[in-house]
Amino acid sequence: MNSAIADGSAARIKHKKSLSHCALETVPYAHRMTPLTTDSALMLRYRDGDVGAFDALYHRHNDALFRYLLRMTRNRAAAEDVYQEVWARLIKARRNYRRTAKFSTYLYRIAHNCFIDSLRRNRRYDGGAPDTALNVADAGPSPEHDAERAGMRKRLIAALNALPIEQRDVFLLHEEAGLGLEDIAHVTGAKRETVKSRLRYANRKLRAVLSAGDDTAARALDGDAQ
Amino acid sequence: MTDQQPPNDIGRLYRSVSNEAAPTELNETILRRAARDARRPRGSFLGRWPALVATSVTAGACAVWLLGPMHSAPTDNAPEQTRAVEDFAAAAADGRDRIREIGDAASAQIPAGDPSAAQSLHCTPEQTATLVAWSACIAALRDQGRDTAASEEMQRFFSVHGVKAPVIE
Repeated sequence: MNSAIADGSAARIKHKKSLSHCALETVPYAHRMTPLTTDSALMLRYRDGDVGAFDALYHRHNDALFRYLLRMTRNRAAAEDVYQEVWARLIKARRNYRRTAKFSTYLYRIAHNCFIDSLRRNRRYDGGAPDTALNVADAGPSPEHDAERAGMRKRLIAALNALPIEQRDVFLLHEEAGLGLEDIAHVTGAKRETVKSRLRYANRKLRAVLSAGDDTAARALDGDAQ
Repeated sequence: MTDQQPPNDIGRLYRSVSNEAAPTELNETILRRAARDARRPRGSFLGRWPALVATSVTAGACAVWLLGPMHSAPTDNAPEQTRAVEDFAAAAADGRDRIREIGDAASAQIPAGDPSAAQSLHCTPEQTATLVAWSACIAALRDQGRDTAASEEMQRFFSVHGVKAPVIE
């Protein structure tokens, strides 16, 4: 656990050095990314003025990206602000878009950088109490009527909120964005082995909370993360 | 290289319960913005360097505005240069019809009759007060066959403004 915390601190310092602002005019690792994907093709079409292509691209990623930011900020209003900023950056950068990067990596790198920037600007959702509404918020039809499932969801989200920010970031990039370790490393600026370690810690802690079957473990994790 | 982690129960569970959607109003806002941005032209010099072009145009306009009056600075007492320049711009906007209209009015003010007397006629101070009226006066003189007077007025116009009076057909 201590190594995880130390690991997180080191990463935080690295973030401060490497992520100057919410932008991606330069993607230093672009040459190592996978080439053209369908998403990239849509982005290129949008770059050339096809609004329909953007529409399709947007609806592929909007909900997952929103959830990523919602969990990272732990505050709905903040998440909405950053969410808009991310898309605005993407729209603005379309003229310079090149299909050298996997689109989802490109998108989540913007999102990650925007989140880090907003974190620096406003510490309200770093270390503060998470937005309680997030634990019960739900959209669309789902088996939330099942009380047991609802309870599990609540515990899982609470435990996720309690994770150190670097572990939460890696977990969400893996589960919401569907990124692999290498891509997460590119997005966060951390080494691949560091990413792997953070993901392992995150999974272990979340599993512990759910195994405990009550909120005690989540509270313990919360103390751990401070 | 095995980039992906093996499937795990926590990840599956998380994905099954994480189902918040992006707010509809945000979706609409962003899609509108994307559409608006896509309508803007891209790839042209003007599109890529709007600030540079705007700066160049502004600098050029300022240079003309400043150097123009210096170049055409009258040696005698010029009649309200500033007002004349404004009128000239206005005339350009209004077009030749407007100039013709002023010319007709100026023509009516020039007395006909004795040709020798007519040759000595010149545009009145009121007519030379503005570029438009002065140009119209010169045109009226030429229309009436008073070529000498028209030439003299044209010379005077040139000495004051540094350019020839526009020819009105």
